[in-house]
Amino acid sequence: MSSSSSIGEDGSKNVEKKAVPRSLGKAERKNARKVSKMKQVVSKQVGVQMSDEPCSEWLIVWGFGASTGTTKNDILDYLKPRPVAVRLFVDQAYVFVRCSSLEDAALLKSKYHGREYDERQTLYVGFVEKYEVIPEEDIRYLAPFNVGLPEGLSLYPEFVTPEEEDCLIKNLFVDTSAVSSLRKRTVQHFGYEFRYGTNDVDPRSPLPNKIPDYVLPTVSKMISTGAAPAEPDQLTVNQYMPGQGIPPHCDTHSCFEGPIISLSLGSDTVMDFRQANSVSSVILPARSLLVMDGASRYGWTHGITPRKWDVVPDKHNGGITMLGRALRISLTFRRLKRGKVGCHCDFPNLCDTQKGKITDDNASVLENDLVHKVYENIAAHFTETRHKPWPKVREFVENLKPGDRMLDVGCANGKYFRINNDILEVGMDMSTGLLEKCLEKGNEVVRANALSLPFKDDHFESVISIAVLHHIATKERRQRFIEEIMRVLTPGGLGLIYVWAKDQNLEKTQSTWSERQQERNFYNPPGSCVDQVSDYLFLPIHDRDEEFPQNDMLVPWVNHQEKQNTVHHRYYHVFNKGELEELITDLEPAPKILDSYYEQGNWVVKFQKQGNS
Amino acid sequence: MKLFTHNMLTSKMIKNVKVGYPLKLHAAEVKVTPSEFRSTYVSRMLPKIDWGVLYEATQSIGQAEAIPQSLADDYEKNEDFLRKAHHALFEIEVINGEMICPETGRKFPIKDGIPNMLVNEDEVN
Repeated sequence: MSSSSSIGEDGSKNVEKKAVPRSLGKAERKNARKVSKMKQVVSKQVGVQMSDEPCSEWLIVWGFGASTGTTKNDILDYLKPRPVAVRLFVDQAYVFVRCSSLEDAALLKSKYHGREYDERQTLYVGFVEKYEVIPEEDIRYLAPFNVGLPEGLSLYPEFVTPEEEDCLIKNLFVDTSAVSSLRKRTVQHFGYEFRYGTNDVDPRSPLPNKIPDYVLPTVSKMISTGAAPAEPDQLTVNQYMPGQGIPPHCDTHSCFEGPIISLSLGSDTVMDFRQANSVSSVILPARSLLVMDGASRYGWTHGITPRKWDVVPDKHNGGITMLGRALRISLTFRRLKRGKVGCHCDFPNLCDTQKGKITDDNASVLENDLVHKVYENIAAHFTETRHKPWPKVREFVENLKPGDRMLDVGCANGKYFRINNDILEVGMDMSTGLLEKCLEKGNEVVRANALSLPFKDDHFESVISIAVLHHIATKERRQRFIEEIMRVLTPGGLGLIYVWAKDQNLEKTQSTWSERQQERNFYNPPGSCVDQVSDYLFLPIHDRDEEFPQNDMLVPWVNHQEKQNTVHHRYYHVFNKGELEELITDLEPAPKILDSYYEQGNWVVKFQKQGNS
Repeated sequence: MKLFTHNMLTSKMIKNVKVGYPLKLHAAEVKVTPSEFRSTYVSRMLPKIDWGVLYEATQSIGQAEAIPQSLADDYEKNEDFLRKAHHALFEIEVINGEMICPETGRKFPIKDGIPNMLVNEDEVN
């Protein structure tokens, strides 16, 4: 949940702590702190000023709201005397309610402030000054539902009967031999295995399990109704628990014919279609059939945000309401392309045949957009999560000789500094935000690009670069990165480079990176937004529960410090086994490799520049 | 930015720049922060410092009295000299100012203690 939509324990760190008189009891102090935090947040987000004195019929109630799963009716039924209006906010844990009189407002406040709702959520109530700024309608937050369907998308409601639905659900997942164990959701493939990440199949490896008999009546109906132009030969069955979803993706153009067809069983859900800056959210009711063809198939990505309920337009009362999710099973039908390979659609950004590639021409722009800008945006949050040095880097730094000079290429907040007091340290990075954090700790920093180090030749007895080189977008640039390090090293000087491995699970224990991801593996709250990656749609977004399917990927960073839990995408080139070592040994003259190993999801090479020190 | 850092910076990455060293230093704001003096640490560093460049740097930012013009021959045993060197290298800090490439005149700003040595891709070799 975003820090702004909750007044949870994270709020206790805030400065207003000091403003709370010590004479109050512990619980009262906690309440006072929360109210104080609440005042700040609504003032910032909505421009509403709160007051302790009754000043209007409007109240703010914290603890109710779209992000806590309460509906408008829940709220109206619970509060006595019953308010006359409620305003919900899509991604917030507060609502505004209007009472019929000042007296009612005062009564509600005294009755419910500090009271627990539904044994899980404490309510906090305040009076609203300046209620004019409260939006007229909460519906304006539902823009993605009102943009209309992407071109080529058709939805057939009640495509199967409840009886057919039951029959399919009962039969699916009975034969466990076809079930794949994805950590995020259960998947079953028929005909061919659909490979997530690359979003394709290997046509040379058909599965022994064809589309099963109990699905065939549905297939026939698809053809007789004209929903499907030809018989599908590949079926993927996904089982989604509430809170699960699937990252935005586009089924590989060259691999499948259009359309892609998906049957929803068991529960309603919301699917988000994205194209450049547009988002179109579509409610997929249980038993409906979704047919993606034309632009919706080739030019938009589709995905399901992982969450337990969706905020959708309330068709009966107006405004918004919550659509709870239950166990949902989706059947996706595809037909493999035969004969000719390739695709000639009008959507080159998402087309594997025509798609953009990382080239010398766009690499620096890409690094700027998807690395430098991102670190600048997440600097404060990033630095909060980066304290503990990797043990082997620490050991490397500890073993440097007294009087050695060390350069940290991509030093970020400087977590490898001040380990060894007898050396001279300088850090460089692109991010001013991170350099400021490093400087605050008394370290010496320079803002520079690793591909053009502004240092003298043969200068540093050691250079470290931890988790930086994987942000460089072409092989030529990665070579140059290493050459620059080699140039500034003294002859005989030592280098240590860490990069992310494509294979994150080579060791039996999970890498700490994937563990960290799992800690964050709560559902994205409604209203999470995705940053600008429209120019880079050809780079797949990594799904944290899965292996890296290819080397060049976008890896999401969810910034919990931001108002809406913004998801920022960083570019990574994850390394194959031996790839880093090869980059280093390809240099002329080749440095001496002193050590080369895998550590917790990273490839590591320790090397020495030739010559006598 | 401390003066030991200035001592290692170059503008050599700029196209057609041959040496790019030393960078001319101008300071709009200088801060002096006392730090722990360790004579062996300083004396280990001195052979790695371009003393002439350090001296010029102190001159150009109004710290003319900081250090003598030449490196003392006996610096290892000369505590007074080592203390001065320590002061110049590790205590004097340029908070705001700029550095200038000696060959092209390209300016590199120093802001809030951080020198910005970024160059555009089209400026480099």
